[in-house]
Amino acid sequence: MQKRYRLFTILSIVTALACLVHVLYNAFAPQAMLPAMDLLWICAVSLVALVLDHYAAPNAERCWPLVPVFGLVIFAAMPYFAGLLGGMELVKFAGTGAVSFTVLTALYAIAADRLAAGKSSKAAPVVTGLLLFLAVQGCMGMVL
Amino acid sequence: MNKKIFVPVVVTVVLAAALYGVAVGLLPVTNENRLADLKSILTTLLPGSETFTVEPYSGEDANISAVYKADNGYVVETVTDGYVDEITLLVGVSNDGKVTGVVVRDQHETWGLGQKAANDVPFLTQLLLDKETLTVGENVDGVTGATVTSKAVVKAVNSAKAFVTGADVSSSATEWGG
Repeated sequence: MQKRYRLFTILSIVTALACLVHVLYNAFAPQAMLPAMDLLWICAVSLVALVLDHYAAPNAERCWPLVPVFGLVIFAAMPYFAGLLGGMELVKFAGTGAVSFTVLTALYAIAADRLAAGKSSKAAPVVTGLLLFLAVQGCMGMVL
Repeated sequence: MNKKIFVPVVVTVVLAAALYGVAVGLLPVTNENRLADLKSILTTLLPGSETFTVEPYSGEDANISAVYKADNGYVVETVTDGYVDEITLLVGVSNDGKVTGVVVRDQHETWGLGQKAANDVPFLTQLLLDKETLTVGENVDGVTGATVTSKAVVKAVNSAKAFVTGADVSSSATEWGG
């Protein structure tokens, strides 16, 4: 597989696993209060995929036109087929997913390039992901 | 066209199909467990009741989303606006208007602040007291650092009590912020 498409495969797997957790909790522990499927959920899933992709292929080239396309398709298909979202809620979720995944991929690429130097290179992908997640949490109140 | 692009497409299709299979396969278990969980909560909130019937609600209080009727009272499901998102509560109210139990069913409030309102015993215990109308800052002490969440919970309890007693839901007791 060429490196530049691997991110989409990883995002698909991570999103499917996250949806599977929701399905299993709904079935076997309906009293549990799970994190809402919102912007933070999308960002967490996207950042896990980006970190894993960075470790798998540190200098991967991105196919930028396909980033929002795959973001839209994956964030629409997985919750829909898992029975978690539908209707306008799903449309909003998929749209938010496409935009957020694209923005985070760009920000992650910029930040990781600058952090991945010297001794910090091994921890840089995880640290970058955590910092971006905190940034999203901090900015969420202003955006939404 | 690069054939490698089909790898993520195929993976997405296969995983979506697998998720669909799991979700459909677990549907009977999901429904059964949800009903058992709900019944367990309802009987806890309204002690002494075993049989509940869903009563359609067509009143004007937008906070009330469902009503479960028993012989000795009601369990009212409410949805109110918290600090971050909506808070869903189940409130048990006896026929004489006394709150018999409160449980937070769903909330996504701030970790360490608003989330405390879901399981803060001193705060939730105050809601069980037999008072006409609950108001944060007057006869109810809110959770420290979570005033908006506390008011949302109190507002939900006031709505549930008003449903049973027939009190005026348009009063300040049930406006946003309690």
